[in-house]
Amino acid sequence: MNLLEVGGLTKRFGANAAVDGLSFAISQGRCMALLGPNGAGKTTTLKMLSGLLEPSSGTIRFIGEARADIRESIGYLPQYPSFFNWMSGKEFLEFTAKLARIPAKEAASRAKELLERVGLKDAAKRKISGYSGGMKQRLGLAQAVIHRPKLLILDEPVSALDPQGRREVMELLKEMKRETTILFSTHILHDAEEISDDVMIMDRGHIVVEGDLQQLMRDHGKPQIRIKVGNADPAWVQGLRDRPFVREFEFALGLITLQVTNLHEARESLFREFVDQGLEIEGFEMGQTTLEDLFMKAVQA
Amino acid sequence: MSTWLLLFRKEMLESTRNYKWIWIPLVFLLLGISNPVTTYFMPQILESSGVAADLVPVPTSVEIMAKSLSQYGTLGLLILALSFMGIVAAERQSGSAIMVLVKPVSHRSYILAKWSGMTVLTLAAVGLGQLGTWYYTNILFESVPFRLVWTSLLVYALWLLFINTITLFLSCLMKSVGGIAFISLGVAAVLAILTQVLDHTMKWSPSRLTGAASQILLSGQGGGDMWLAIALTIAFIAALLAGSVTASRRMWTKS
Amino acid sequence: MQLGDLGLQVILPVAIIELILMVIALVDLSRREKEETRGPKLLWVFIIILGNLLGSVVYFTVGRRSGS
Repeated sequence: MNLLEVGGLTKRFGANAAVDGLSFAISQGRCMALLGPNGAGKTTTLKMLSGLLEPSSGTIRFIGEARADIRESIGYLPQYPSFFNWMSGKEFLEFTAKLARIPAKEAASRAKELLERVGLKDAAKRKISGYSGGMKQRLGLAQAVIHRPKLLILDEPVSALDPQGRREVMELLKEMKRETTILFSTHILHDAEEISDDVMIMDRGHIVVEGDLQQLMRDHGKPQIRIKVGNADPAWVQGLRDRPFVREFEFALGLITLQVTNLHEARESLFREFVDQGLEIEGFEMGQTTLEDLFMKAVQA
Repeated sequence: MSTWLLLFRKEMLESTRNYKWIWIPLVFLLLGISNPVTTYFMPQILESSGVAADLVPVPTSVEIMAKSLSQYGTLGLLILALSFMGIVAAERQSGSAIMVLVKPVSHRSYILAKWSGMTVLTLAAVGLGQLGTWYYTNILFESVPFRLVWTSLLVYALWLLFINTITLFLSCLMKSVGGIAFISLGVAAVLAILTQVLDHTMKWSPSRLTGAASQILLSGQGGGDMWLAIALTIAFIAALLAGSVTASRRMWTKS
Repeated sequence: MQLGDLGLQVILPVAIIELILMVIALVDLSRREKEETRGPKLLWVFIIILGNLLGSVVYFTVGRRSGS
């Protein structure tokens, strides 16, 4: 069942459209990664969905939500969260809970519960100004889920963190995934592959590819061979283009990447050539194209 | 609890934590008592510099109090503008305002809470200053009726609140905090000068309130045009507040 | 210049208020991280102590970075 349906979402800044006619849906209980290079329009999209930015045109529809203010159903974590540094972590969470219309008593218990969950129990009474980047990000996550939102929107939740902070936040996201629907943006594919069910790749304000991650990998997972040759004859390398089993050919930094129609056929044919030509093969790898290949291709197209 | 009250309490807590609630009232207190104190020592100061003290007339108590009020209009206004210039702009700049506005909070509650915080603090500061002036004037010179003290204060404070509201409005509109303070003070200065020059046509001017407040002290009456100026100043403040809410909303949702 | 008894009573509160302001400014300064003040902290110590009332007021209005 769809939780959110977006139609023709557009945001223009002057003559320039940062987001141009986006239409997509998010299903309840799924985790969707919004991928794309810098400047693709990810942040603008997320801000519009969070109610922070007004679309120039298009519709955003929450299914089954009669509430007047969609912000009640949304938790949002900005890319660079900034807090009231003079508050303690506990004070800040209680404050945001009450802003989300949670009664005072429940706000206190909810803040306590979340501080423990994001590992800030010991720092709860310290001023936020003394928190590390990772601690702030975890506090940011806590404020985003404090009112049990139907949809959790996170803008680059891990990109500014060191490896340890990143791991902590990813683990938290995996937990939260069980409780709510998540939409998060990232420019790091590995993060998307690790936790998301669906992906949407954006470039220059448009959706390039969208769908179920597993399905996309199957559809786009083409058999692929990478060859590294020591004494490659340029004419031979370029000639690979014309082999019947080669669908796509790429040659860069001494590495030949071939997308082939049939792995077995390709391997046998290539091995024969290696022997006949006396080529010094330094590396030979067979596999499938990854999401990264899809991403690079989508973005370059 | 209403969102407005919640945000208002946050403003109060913030200005307590950053000591605004201590230092601004104390500075106004000093501004208030400096005039009676220097007037009290004036004969001795003149004597030590060789001027015959009886050449300079001793001001009356109400004159001393009226002069104290004008201190709030210069140094006081400068302090208020510098303290409040970032009230909205700084939160927008740092990004902390996002954390508030992403929750179901209206721009109206957000701005009104800011304005209420400024207003309560300003009233407390000028109130304390005026009480200090009154106390010192009473023990060092003749006593002044309390009725004149609080009525003149309220009229004067309305002028300060008007400039505060301009600062708030600009803070919703502009990025540079220095520019916000500069323009606020510029508006105050230009209005004051225009009102003096165009005495007959600017009967509605908010800056008339400063003269009216002195008049209350000196003659017990604010003058015939005072109520016109009061009504218009309140209307200006209301309009500026509405403008601030719109400006704040536009700043967020359009850009 | 002679200060009578009344004179001392008049001056003393003024001095006390100035002292309080100075102390609060120094306490605030000491609790701040380096990046939370504009300019070096040591410089502000001098401004607050030597600048009397004006020093403290300047510190409170423009010496601190907002948002913290």
